[in-house]
Amino acid sequence: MRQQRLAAFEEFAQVNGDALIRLSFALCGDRGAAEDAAQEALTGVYLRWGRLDDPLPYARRAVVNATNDQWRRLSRRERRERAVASRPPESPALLDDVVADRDRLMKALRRLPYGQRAVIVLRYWYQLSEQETAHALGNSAGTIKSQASRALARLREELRSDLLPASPEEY
Amino acid sequence: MNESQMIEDVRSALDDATSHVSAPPGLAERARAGGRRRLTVRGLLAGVPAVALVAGAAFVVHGSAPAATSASTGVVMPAHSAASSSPGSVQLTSYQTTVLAKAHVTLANLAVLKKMHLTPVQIKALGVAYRTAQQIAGAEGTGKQLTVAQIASVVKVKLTVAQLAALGYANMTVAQIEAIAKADLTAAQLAALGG
Repeated sequence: MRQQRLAAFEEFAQVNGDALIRLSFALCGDRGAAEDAAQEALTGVYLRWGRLDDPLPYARRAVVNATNDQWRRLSRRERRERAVASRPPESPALLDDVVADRDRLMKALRRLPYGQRAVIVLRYWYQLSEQETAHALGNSAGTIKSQASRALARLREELRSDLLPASPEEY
Repeated sequence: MNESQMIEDVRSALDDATSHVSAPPGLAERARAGGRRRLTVRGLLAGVPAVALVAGAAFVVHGSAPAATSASTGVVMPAHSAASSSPGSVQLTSYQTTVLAKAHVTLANLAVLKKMHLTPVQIKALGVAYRTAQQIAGAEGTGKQLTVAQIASVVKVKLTVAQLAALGYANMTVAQIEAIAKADLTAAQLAALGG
């Protein structure tokens, strides 16, 4: 029985581990913090294994919270340094317009407040429904709807003002 | 750029940014190990060190002075100073044992409070409420027992009906409840001493 339980948890972690770390990385941009957050979330899932009807929504919510906690613990300087170190090495391809635009977009996204960034990541990248996003963020669906609208507007503003140097508040 | 175009671009940008990220080997094992560690810590916190419990209980029941002494149980009770008690400890400080002993607070009294699932903050507020209720009911010494209605008239600690009922059955005196409030027991201590 215990072996079956362990095997089921292992399978869950194997199937969803990558997605959970990517979610955390998309939120914070730091590889180390993302791994810590995903591990923290999976620990929570392990402790509740058998009591959760569907462990994935719980894991997502735990990742969002753990990422926020991990990131808040770091100083601003550490955040900037770790974010830079986590970026893939720049290649000549960066000169390509499409790549440059994506880089600009990521920088703008990371200048958003954590809550708005989380809404964009979960709602539009993860393609969760408003209900699922609300569950992951501990809000109501109505709040998510208005937050998503505000987040997109803010993102558009950030992109407009992108000619300015990156703000020290990034991340 | 319209909204749907921007959303599409965000998706592509995030796909790109996270494409090099994957779970490190052994993530599940580390998560399980973390879970086991947490369970162990919880177990340790929930389990009460027997010596501390018996020593604390003996202090409470017998009202002994807070010095190292031998109770009728034959257990040697160490003297605890307030400074030596850590927040997670269930051992009573000498101040707490003296306060509780003076008011003849019994383990049964503490068990009632534990069953009520009161927080330390609620217990403190309850102490104030008891004193006020006593004043309303008329001063007859701190040994007076109060009715549920009297307590309810001043309790502002959001007690449930069940909690109030439990309090009524406990027949605790003003002095006792005040002493418990004054002793400022932590949730861990209350859980340990409440049986």
